[in-house]
Parts: sequence; C-alpha cells; structure tokens
Amino acid sequence: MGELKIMGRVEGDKTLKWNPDKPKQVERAKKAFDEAIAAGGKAFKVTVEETLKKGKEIKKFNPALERIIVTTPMAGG
Amino acid sequence: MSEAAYLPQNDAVSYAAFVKAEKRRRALQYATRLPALEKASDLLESVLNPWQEMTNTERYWFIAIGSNEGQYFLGESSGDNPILLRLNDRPVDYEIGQQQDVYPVGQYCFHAEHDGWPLDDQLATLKLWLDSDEEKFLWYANFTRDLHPCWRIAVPYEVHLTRSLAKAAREVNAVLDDKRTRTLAERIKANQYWAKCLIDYRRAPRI
Repeated sequence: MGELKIMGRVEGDKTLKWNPDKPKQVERAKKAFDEAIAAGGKAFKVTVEETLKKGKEIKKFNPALERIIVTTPMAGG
Repeated sequence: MSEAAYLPQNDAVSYAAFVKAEKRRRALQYATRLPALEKASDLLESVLNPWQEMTNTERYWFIAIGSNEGQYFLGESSGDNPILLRLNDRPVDYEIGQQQDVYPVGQYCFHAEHDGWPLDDQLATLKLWLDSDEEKFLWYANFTRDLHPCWRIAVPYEVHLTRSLAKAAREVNAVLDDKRTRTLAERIKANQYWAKCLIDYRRAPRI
C-alpha cells in the first residue's frame, strides 16, 4: 500500500493511498502527483532505515514506493 | 495606558473599531487555518527523527544533518517564517580531543515561495531538502553572516540545555555499521557530553 501526501496551503495536506495491484488507484495517484509537480512542488520519497527517517528527491511517480511527500514550492530570499 | 489614549477622540473611536475588526479578522483566519496547521504539524512529526521530534515538541526547534553532514538549526523566526542557521562545521576537534562550543555561523534565507504556508510544512520541506541533496539546497538558499545577536546567544544555550540528543545516541547505536550514522552518533555523543559539562558547571558552587 502506497501513500502520497501533497502539502496544501489552505486546507492542509491531501492524502491519497493506492494498492500497487489496482491500476485505477495507481493512475489516480499518478495524476495527482503529476499535477502537484507541474504546480511547482518538489517530491520526496521518505524511507525509514532502522530509526532514521530520510527523504530523497524523486522526479517520477513510482507506485512501488511506500511514502511520497510533495512539498511546497520554496525560494531563496 | 493604551495607544488609543494618545489619539484625538474621533480617531480613538475609529482606532478601537479597527482593533476590534482586526482581532475578529485574525480569529477567523486562525479558525480557518487551524485544520491546515494541525495537519502540517502531524506531517512534520512524521518526517522527523526521534531526537528531532523531541526537541521540536519541547522547544520548537530541531537540528537537521544534511546529506554532506552539515549541521543546521531549524525553528520559528517570526510568524510563519522559518529560521535556518548553519552551525559550526567541526564542533569537536577529534585530533586534539578538545571540546569546542557549538555556535551558529550564519543564516540561510529559504522559505515558501508564497505567503500563508504553515510553518511546519516549510520546516518539513527544509528537512527533506537537506536529507536529499544538501549541495543543491546550498545552491538555492541565500546565505548571510549577518546574524542577529539573539541567535548567537540563544542557539548555543538551547542546544546545550537540552538532553534529548542523549536519547538519540542510544537509538542510532543499532545502525552503527553505516559510516554516516557512525559519524552522526559520534556527534550526538559529543552533544551529550557538552550538555553534561554545562549542567555540571552550573551545579558547581561559585567561589
């Protein structure tokens, strides 16, 4: 089971879950992912190694991943 | 005495009305944003490591270790703006064995592109950026050495004061095989040592 979280400014983050064996759910998550990236978001996969949680940037949606977070667009001041 | 007392009567009435309206507007804005703020807080907690979560819960800041092992102090600056400080690179001189103080060397300006994003969302994003590609982050972020004196004083004090890094040291012992983790564990141990030194120093009677 995979989980996609897309950060939201007004109503908070939006969560989408999918089962890799169900193409409809995967397609829905991929569509939401692509839309969020097109809006300027940056995507990270979050992995847990023992007790360490680490983020790694990803460019494409991968249904095999367990957790993806699409973050807010950032800028240097 | 309130600010309204210094104003002419008509202005004072309009000022009071303005304050009332502004208070109502802010309360409404807060109530509208509350679900987003709560969700952002949960999301931040879900990406933080145990020792970061502890300081974030207790003191509203945490230290992030970048992919190139840089150390950063992340917290709240003002309103919804995050503060991101670079800590000194070599807090412990392993060759000589001398303990050095931890202090911020400068500040990075890097925040959400648009106003109104919850602070916790921005902090989670910064943490993930640093985890993923510190070099790229440094390329984007705007660095300045002009640091407000309050941070120079507050950061070492806060970092020394907390003992939560000690718990982290115990937890990461399980993954000592990894080189980066070992370095991290060493640093955490050093932090723990500093905390102990500081507390012992404060307990010692003054002559």
